[in-house]
Amino acid sequence: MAIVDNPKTLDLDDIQGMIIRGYGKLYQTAYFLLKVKDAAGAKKWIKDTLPKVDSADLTTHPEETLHLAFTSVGLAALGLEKENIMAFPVPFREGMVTEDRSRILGDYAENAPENWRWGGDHKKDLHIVLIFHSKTDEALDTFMAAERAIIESSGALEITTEMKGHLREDNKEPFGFHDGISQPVVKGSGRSGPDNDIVETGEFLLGYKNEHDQYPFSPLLEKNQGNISLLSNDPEGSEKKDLGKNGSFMVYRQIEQHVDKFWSYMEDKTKNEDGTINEDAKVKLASKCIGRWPSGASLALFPDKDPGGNPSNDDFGYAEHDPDGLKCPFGSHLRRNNPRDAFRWYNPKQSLKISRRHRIIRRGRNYQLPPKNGEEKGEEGLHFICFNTNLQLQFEFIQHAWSNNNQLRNLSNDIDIIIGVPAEGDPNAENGQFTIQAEPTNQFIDSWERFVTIKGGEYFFFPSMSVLNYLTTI
Amino acid sequence: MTKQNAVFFQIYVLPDQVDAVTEVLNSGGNPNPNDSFFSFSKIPDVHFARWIVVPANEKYGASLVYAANVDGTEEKHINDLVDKLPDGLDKILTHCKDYPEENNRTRATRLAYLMKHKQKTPGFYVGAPNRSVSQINNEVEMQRALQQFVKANGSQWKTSKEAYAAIKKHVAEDPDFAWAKEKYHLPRKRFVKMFFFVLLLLLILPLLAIYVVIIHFFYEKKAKPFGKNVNQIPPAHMAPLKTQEDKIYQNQLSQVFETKGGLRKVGLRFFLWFASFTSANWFVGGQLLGTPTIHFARWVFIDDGSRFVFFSNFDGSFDEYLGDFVDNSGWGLNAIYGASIGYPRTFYVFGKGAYEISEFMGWGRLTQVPTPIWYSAYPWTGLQQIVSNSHLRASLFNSGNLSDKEIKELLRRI
Ligand code: HEM
Repeated sequence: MAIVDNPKTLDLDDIQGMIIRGYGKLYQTAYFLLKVKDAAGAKKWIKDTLPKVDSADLTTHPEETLHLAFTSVGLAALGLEKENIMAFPVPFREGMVTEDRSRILGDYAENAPENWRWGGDHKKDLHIVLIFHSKTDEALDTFMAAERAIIESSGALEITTEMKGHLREDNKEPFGFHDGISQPVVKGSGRSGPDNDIVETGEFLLGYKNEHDQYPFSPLLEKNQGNISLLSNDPEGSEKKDLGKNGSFMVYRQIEQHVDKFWSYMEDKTKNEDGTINEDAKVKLASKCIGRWPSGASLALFPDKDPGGNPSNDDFGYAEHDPDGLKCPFGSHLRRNNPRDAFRWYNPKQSLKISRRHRIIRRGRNYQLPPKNGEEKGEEGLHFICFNTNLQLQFEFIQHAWSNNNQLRNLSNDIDIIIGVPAEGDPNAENGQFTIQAEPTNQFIDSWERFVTIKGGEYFFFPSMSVLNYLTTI
Repeated sequence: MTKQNAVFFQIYVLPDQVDAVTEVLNSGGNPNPNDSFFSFSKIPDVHFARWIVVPANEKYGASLVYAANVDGTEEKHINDLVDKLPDGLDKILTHCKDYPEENNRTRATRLAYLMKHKQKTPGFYVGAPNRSVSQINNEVEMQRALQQFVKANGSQWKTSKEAYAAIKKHVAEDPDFAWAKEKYHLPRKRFVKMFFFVLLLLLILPLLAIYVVIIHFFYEKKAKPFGKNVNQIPPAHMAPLKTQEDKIYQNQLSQVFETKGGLRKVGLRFFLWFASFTSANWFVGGQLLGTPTIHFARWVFIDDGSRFVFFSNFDGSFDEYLGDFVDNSGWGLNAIYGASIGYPRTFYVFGKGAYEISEFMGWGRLTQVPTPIWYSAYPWTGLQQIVSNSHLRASLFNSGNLSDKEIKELLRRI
């Protein structure tokens, strides 16, 4: 394993920034959910907004930036013809909430879309998401106010929901773990990275070959409309124009995190025999569940103790360091959701081949709501955002086949500690556990609880810069 | 040792009764509940079972297909059906050709009818051979009980040997585990048979090579793949399939194919024989060419060989299952399904085809039919769980002294 070069071959100017960049210095974010009231006015607004949308060109360092993504109803509201919407992949067309998709994702009971703040049933009003990045909270407020004023004065769009998010300076998500370390590196982006993390462009950007050595399914214009000279051709050689090229699909889920419950659970399960709190054991258990220490250090590399510091290292596998899960448990969030070079009992090559076919670029940001009356602390959680070109084989696969799967490897009834949801109706759901592979025998942490709740979500199309421009001409 | 067997009927429906029988089947349940009019739980020897409707084509009328994976013989199962589910049979088969008239429905006439319609299963794969339904369920319970024991006592043990001794003592004393002491060994690979099999393959290799070339140049060039990506399947076709999926740990797949003619058909018979032979003699450890999630799968010719069906019972979702196959053994899929009309174009029989994953999944969906009645005897147990439990049981109860390595492996399974 090593850090390798990854020469730039992509036209980064044409790609919206967030796919390639995490904006680690732009700590503050906001999300406007917009409803299109008047298509012509909305298209004009997009046109005027375009110059503020940052591209993936790594040589620029904007102080603030916008990004735009669309639901399928949103594209229709802008005037994209039905035939052209039907050219998009099914999960995007249907949206995050359908009966069968909710079964796959585990969106029932407390996660049921009926209880969501946005997305789901309200999707007919959810057309566009406008994403803000800014350096400081004050700058963000000013930025938001300015954009709000523009949107309101246009009269063409309505802001149905406003949300804020942020990146902590120590990069920790609300449970207190360094996040955003494990990321695939898009081949051709010009960024170097661990060779295991360099993944074919087509897993994240439409119009390029993916890890199957094929082009991912991309929306090709079925019925000509608008200024099609702005669009590139189908790379597979049909005469059709490609709406997808340099774009991606964005998954957005607002996930509440029950931080106190999480830590009191860890505390309860690790108390000393005399009933006192064992701080080290508590943190260790939580880290076993995540697969990294709070600092971000990998358990596979540092099995005993958090080395501290800020070790954002992703250059490791499990095959060599930890084939039996004795350091980083098979069921940990990290190992489950990317088994790297140790999937099932396959050899490292086969494992990596498969792992690479199921990766996502994560761009989550924390959120913290103001306390409601009487509460000490407001709701907190994650605006989980990720990018992929094949929603079924990437995001949905990870959630269903890996996180919600209670029988991965030798596990008999363990789901992902954070995001796993047992299948509805599973009689063993109540007895969920977390298994720590150990010698001489495995250790089990019983009566697993749920530490997150889904509060909203939708699938979005995240077009290229030129397709954003094209959409203003339809 | 229990051997699981395949039972299969194809029964033609009276032409004007297709909607009626479909409606009856639709009330049977997928997954099939205990209170359905055709509850398979009444027959404890059934692992998985299904009823489907095969739609009519130009030459053949619509028919019902029944498939079950059972402990014991085909004949015993047919007797069980007649004894335990006579009313259910009547309710379904009354819509079928030549079913005895109402006043002539007796044990004997029903039995004769089913016996007349039973059909051989030329391609059959069992993920966990030599295991009865009750053994599978008992072993699940055993594993749970052992886990509880480890939870309660694990902290006292310092070494694997010590842990093993304590567990061994515990199970020896517990009468609940009496069943596990019965003689049992895991299915074994048959090296001798495989040796001759490989020898035979080598002998016919030149023929195979000619086959590959002829298919490539004379068949595949003319083939007409459906060419539909999985995102381009008509919503009306997808809707009934989707409502039946992802409800339990497992899923079912029922596909009906039109067979290509000539040499392709010969090749298909050969590859099915190949699949069955290797399944029975080599792939006995819970993986079919690296895919570890298939409980049972079968390929059967229907309509005088002009069509064939594929049924499987697997863990996880449709996408995960087909993806798994492509990741591990797309060439095997190509050899078999290349004989079905509409399959993605192959390259020298084994290449391309399934590796065009989105088109392959599109073909999978287009050839899929709904499975109105589907039953699983252990809906929440994955195949690898079953396999691992049997290893645990065999090494704990049915083995002599274990080496340190074997002890560690045993402990890992708890
Ligand atoms: C509130 C919810 C969540 C929390 C608190 C959370 C937390 C974390 C943390 C702390 C890491 C380790 C940091 C890193 O390696 O970058 C991580 C990694 C990861 N998470 Fe999450 N996560 C959440 C939701 C999700 C969801 C919904 C998914 C996808 C379905 C997901 C998929 C992943 C993946 C793929 C990795 C990287 C694994 C690897 O490449 O080794 N997470 N998450």
